[in-house]
Amino acid sequence: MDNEHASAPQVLVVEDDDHIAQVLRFMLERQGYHVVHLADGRAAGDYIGSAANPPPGLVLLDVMLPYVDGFELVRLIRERADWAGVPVLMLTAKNTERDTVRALDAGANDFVIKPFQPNELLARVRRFLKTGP
Amino acid sequence: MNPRALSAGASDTFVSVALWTGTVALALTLLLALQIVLLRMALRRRERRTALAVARWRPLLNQIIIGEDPALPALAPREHLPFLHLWAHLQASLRGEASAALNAMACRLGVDTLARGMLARGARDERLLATLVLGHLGDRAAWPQLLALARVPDSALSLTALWALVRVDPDAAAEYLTPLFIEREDWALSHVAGILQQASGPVAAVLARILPQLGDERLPRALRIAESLRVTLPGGVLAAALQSRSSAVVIAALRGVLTPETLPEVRALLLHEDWQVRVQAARALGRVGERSDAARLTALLGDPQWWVRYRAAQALRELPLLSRADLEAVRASLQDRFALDMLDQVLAEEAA
Repeated sequence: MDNEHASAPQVLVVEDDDHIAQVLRFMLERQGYHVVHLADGRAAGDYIGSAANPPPGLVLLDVMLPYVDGFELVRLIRERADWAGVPVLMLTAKNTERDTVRALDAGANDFVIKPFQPNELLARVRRFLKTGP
Repeated sequence: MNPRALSAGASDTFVSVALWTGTVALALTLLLALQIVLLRMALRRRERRTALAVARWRPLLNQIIIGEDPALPALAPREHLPFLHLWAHLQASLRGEASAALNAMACRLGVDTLARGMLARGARDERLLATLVLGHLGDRAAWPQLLALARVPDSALSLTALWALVRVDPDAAAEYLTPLFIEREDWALSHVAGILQQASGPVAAVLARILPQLGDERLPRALRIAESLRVTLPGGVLAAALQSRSSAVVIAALRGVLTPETLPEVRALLLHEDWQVRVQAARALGRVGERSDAARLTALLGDPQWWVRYRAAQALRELPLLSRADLEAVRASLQDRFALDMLDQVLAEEAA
C-alpha cells in the first residue's frame, strides 16, 4: 500500500464539507491518486508549514474554510520554496467572480465553480498531473 | 379554642404542605431527568441510524456520481430521511451528468413517490426536505402540491416551494411567480433573485409584458427584480420608465440600463432636479455611454452633490474607448478644484 502511495501522485484536498470531501476523495482515488484530506484552514496551514510534509502533486482547495480561508492558504503555499510550483486548483462558489479573480491573483493556477461537474474537475486535475495515471 | 392546639394544628398543616411540595418537586425532577435521558437515547439512536444509512449509501452515491452503475438495494424506511438529506446535499453541490445520474438513481429507488407522500403528510421538516428533493428532481407530478405549499404563511416552506416550482417548470413558474414577487415587498430581493435565477429568460418575457401595466407604486420593485436578474428589458419599456414622473421609478429604471438603446433618455436625466437620479444617470452612462459622453460627465464633475461628482468621475474612468491619455486631457482641462479633486481620487482608487 505504501509503495502504491509512493508512486501515485498525491493530491492534498482541503474541504470542510465532509460529504463533498468524501466525493472528491472517492473520485480521485478511483483515478489512482493518493489523497490527503484536511477539513479546515488551520489544519491545512499547519500541514503546509511543516517541513516534514513534502509538496503534493496538486492542491485542491476550497475558498471558504473555517479559521483560515483558501486565499491565505495559497499565499502560504507560494511562500514555501519547495511548494511554490505546486499547482493549486480552487473551488469557488457560483456568482462570486470577485473570489475567482482574487484566487487567481493570490497564485492559484485554476478554479472550478461550485456546484461542480466531477468530470470537469477530474479533467483539470489530470491536466496538472500529466505524469499521473 | 386553645391557642397552643391551634398553633400545633397550623404547624402540622405547614409540614404537610411542605412535604407534599417536596414530593411533587422531586417527582417532577425525576420525570424531567427521565425525559432528558429518553431524548438523549432517541438522539443517539437517530445518529446511529443516520451513520449506518450514510455508510451504506455513500459508496453507492459516489459510484453513481462518477458515472458507474452499481446494483441498488431497496431503500429501507429507517433510511429515508438520512438518505434524502445526503442526496439533496450532494445535488446542491454537483451539476451536469452527476446531477442527472443522481436523479435517475432517485427515480429507480422510488424517491419521487416517497417525497410526494412526505409533502402531503409529513411534519414541517420532512415537507421542507421533500420540497428540496422534488425541486432537484424537477418532478412535474408534484406541481399542484408545490403550488399549494407556495401559498402557506410559513415563509421558509413557501419560498422553498417557489424555488422548487422554478426547477420543475421555469416557464410556468415565471408566469406565476413574477407578479407574486412584485407584490410581496417583504421578501428580500436577493432571495427572490436566487429563486428566479434559473428562470431569468421566461421572467424577462413576463416582465416585458406586465411592466407597462404597472403603477408607480409597483414599478420600482419590478425594475429592481429585472436588474437583479440582469435581464435586458425592451428599449420601449425601459424608455417609458425612464420618462416617469416618479423619481423612484426613474432610479430603478436607470439601474437596469444595460444597453445603449435608451442613451438619449439617460443623457437627458443627467440634468434631473433630483440628485439621486443624476447619480444613477451618471452610473448608467458609465456602463453604456459613448466616447462623446465624456463632455457630459465632465460637466457633472462640478455638481453640487458629492455623490454625483464621485459617480461621474467613476463613469468617466469606465467609459469605453476613453484612454488614460484622454482622462489626463480631461483632468488638465478642469478649472473647478472640487472636480479636479474628485477625478484625482477616483484615478488614485484605480491605481490602488
